[in-house]
Order: sequence, then C-alpha cells, then structure tokens
Amino acid sequence: MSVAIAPRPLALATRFTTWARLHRVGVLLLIAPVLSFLLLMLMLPLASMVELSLFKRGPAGTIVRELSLINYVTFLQEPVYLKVLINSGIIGVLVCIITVGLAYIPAAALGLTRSRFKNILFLLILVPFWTSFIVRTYAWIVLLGTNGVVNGALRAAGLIDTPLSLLYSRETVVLGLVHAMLPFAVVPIYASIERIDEAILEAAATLGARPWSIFTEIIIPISLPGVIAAGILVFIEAMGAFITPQLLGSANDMMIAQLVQERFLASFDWPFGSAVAVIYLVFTGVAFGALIAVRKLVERHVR
Amino acid sequence: MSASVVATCVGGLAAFATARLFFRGKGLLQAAVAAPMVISKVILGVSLLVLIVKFGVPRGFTSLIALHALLCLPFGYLVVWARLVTAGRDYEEAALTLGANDLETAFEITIPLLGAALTGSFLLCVTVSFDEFSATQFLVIPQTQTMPIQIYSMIQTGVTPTVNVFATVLTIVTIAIPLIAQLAFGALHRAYLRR
Repeated sequence: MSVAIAPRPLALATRFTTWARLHRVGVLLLIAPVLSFLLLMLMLPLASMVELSLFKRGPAGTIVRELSLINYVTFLQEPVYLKVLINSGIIGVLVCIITVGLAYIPAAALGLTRSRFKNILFLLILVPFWTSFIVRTYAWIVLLGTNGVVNGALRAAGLIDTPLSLLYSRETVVLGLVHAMLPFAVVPIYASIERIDEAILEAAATLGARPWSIFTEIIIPISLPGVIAAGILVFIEAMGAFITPQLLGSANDMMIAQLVQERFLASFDWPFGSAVAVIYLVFTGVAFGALIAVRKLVERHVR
Repeated sequence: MSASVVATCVGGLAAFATARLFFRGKGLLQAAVAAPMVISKVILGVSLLVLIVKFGVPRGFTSLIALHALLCLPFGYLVVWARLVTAGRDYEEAALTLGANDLETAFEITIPLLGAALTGSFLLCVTVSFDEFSATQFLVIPQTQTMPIQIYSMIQTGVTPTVNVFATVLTIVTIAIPLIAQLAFGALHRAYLRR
C-alpha cells in the first residue's frame, strides 16, 4: 500500500516545480490583457493630454504645436482659475467631513447589530448605487426649485410669501454631493466595524466599561482606518464631481471638472483644458497615494 | 453591454493574478486598475478624446465602448478579487492533489466557484455603463446618444413633465435590472441544487 501512495507526493512535487518554472509565463499571460488595456486606455490618453497641455491655442480653436508652459502660468496667475481650484478643495473638504460624520452612524449600527434584517438594511443603503445619478441630482431641482416641493410646502403652511431661492449655491452643491457620496462612505466604515471581535466588546463590558467608553475607546479607534479610507475616497470623488455642481451650483462656484469640460466643449481651448486637467491630476495623485498608504496601514493593522 | 463583457473578462483575469500569484509590481498593478474609479470621469473622457483626435479615430461606438470598459474595469476587478480572497484556495489545492492539471482545475473548480462573482461583476458593470454621463459626454455623437445624455440635455431646458416621466422610467429600469437578475439567479441556483 505504501508503494501505491508514495508516488503521489512525488508527482505533486514535480508538478509544482514545473509550475514554478511556468510561473513567470503564467503571470505574464494573466496580466497581459489588463496591462495592455490600461496602457492603451489610461496611460496613453493621459500622456497625450499632458503633451497637449504644453501647446498653445491658435485662432478658432486650432492648436499651435510649440512647447511652452504658458497654460500653467496663466492658470496660476489668474485669480479666476485659482478660485476654481480652491473652491473645489473647499467643497471637497466640506463634503468629506459631513459625509463621513453622517455615514458613521448607520455604519456603526449595521456593523454592531445582530438583527436578522441586517442584510436587508445593508441592501437599502446600496440601492442608491443602482439608481441613475443624474436622476438623483435632478430630484433635488424638483425638490428645491422655486416651484418645488419644499417651497410649495412652506407657502402652503403660510411661513413664506415669496419662494426662497434654495438652488444654485455652494450649499446646494455640498448637499447634493453628500447625498451622492453617502453609500460610498458607509461601506468602508461598516467593513472596519463589522470586523471587530465581539469577544473584545464583551471583555470590556465584563470589566465594567460603560457603553459610552466602549464606543469611544474601542470601536472608534478600531474603525479609524476605515474612516480615513472613506474620507479620502469621498474627498477625491467630490473634488472631481461634474454633474452635481453643473446642475445644482451657481456660475460663481465653478468646480474644476466643470472648467475642464467648458474648455473642451464650449470654448474649444483644448490645451488650456488639458493643463487644468493635469493640475487636477496632480492633486488627485497625492490624495490617492495617501489612500494606498492608509490601506497598507489597515492591512498591517488587521494582521 | 459589450463594455461590461470586456471589463469582466480583463478584470477577472487580473483579479485572479493578483489574488493567487505573487510577483513584483503587484501593488502598482492594483493601484493602476483602481485608478479609473478615483480619477474624475471628466478627465478620463477628455484624455481619451485627446488621444483619438490625435490619431484621427472618429468618435463612434468603438471608442465609446472602450471608454466604458475602462470605467467598469475597477468594479469588475474588485468583485472577482474579493470573491477569490474570501473563497481561499483549499478547493483548488484539493483538485490539484487529486490529480487534476492546472487547466482542469481552472475550468472545473475556479470558474464555477466564481460564477456568482462574475455575474455580479457583469451586472455591476452594466449598471455603471448604463448610468455614466460625465465621461460619455465627450465621446458621444448623435448616433450613440445614451439615456443620461438625453436626460441631461432635457434638464438644460428646465423642469418639464417629460423629464419627470423619463427620469421615473430610468429609475425603475435601473432598480429592476439587478433585482430581476438576482431573483433569476437565485431561482436557477435553487433548481441546480435540487437536481
């Protein structure tokens, strides 16, 4: 019998050596599609955009192909453009703080509950993902417009005579973005709270910790990496938002994606639009680097 | 739709590579795959527009599908990756120990195991692609109008009953697709188990 079994591990060992030799080829074959796809669809377009940003705009939207940094200089010298960047940053930070604050409550409730409706409740949080983003934004116009639901209700209640102008302000943009980003923020926070070992909470309770101190001294520190990850994700998404500021914002509070879109589709100054896009990308790159660092931290934390 | 197929396949392969194998530059690849999710959609659309204009490619269905595949890629990747990581590699190792070769293992164990994840990835990609506006607006031509683009241009003219009807239909459709798919998939699965 030992004779019959003995060849097995041997054969397996041989197979694993061949496999190790084939490993390099295998990895290459597996990642070749995604690598070439990303190269062609992501790197190459971005590179040609950087190239274009170094050219100048000629008369009637033509492109003068001589290298210069004129677009970047213009952007950094004109207060109008800097204001767009700063405005995007402010909106990004505001949305980030409010969203994470609001998302923490349902995330913590879902992460800690033992209710049998947990899955259904979680599904309900994800439903907005399925509905059209543009429709959700449009719904705010229906709600807040001068003839909208809110103004109608206030007038019917006799609280106001003339309709309030609730739309087209920075606050509306923040409101719309918080609404849009909330599910994005709940998921990472929920994941970090869900992972908490219940034994730790029970141990703390047995040792006489009050619910409040369990919350502040155990749950919040453990979920912190998730909170940071959610915050950075929301910040990046909010800063690059287009639909929400376009539909709900005012012309004075232009955001960076709108500026790019306007240069490309309205005033046909592609080189300048590209330069703005590159400046935005540098911003995002820094934030994304932070996101990766945080994720590494989280992974180390879990192990 | 075709964009979703591309994204699911390419993302799936990449997910398998990163979840199961170790190689240099893996972290970099993971970051690159996730990048389209984080970079502003406006920028992605614009950069692709710059590229195709540079090489004289006309805007049309092909470039639009390529763009949507790019936008869906991170979602397709993440769903499959998450499934592979949680499933562990016990089943595959068992198959290998019992004498199946690598290809048999892939087709008889790994791919069936990933069935739900691949379907989920595909559906998520369909939803993302169906709803995309910010990047699409740069590559769209009248022949390739998508629903969100249509609605956006309608909104520009103000709140009208037509927009409301359109929006309602769109909302119902986008909620119904994953829901129906979920139910159908559940029924199929149960039928399969009963057999």
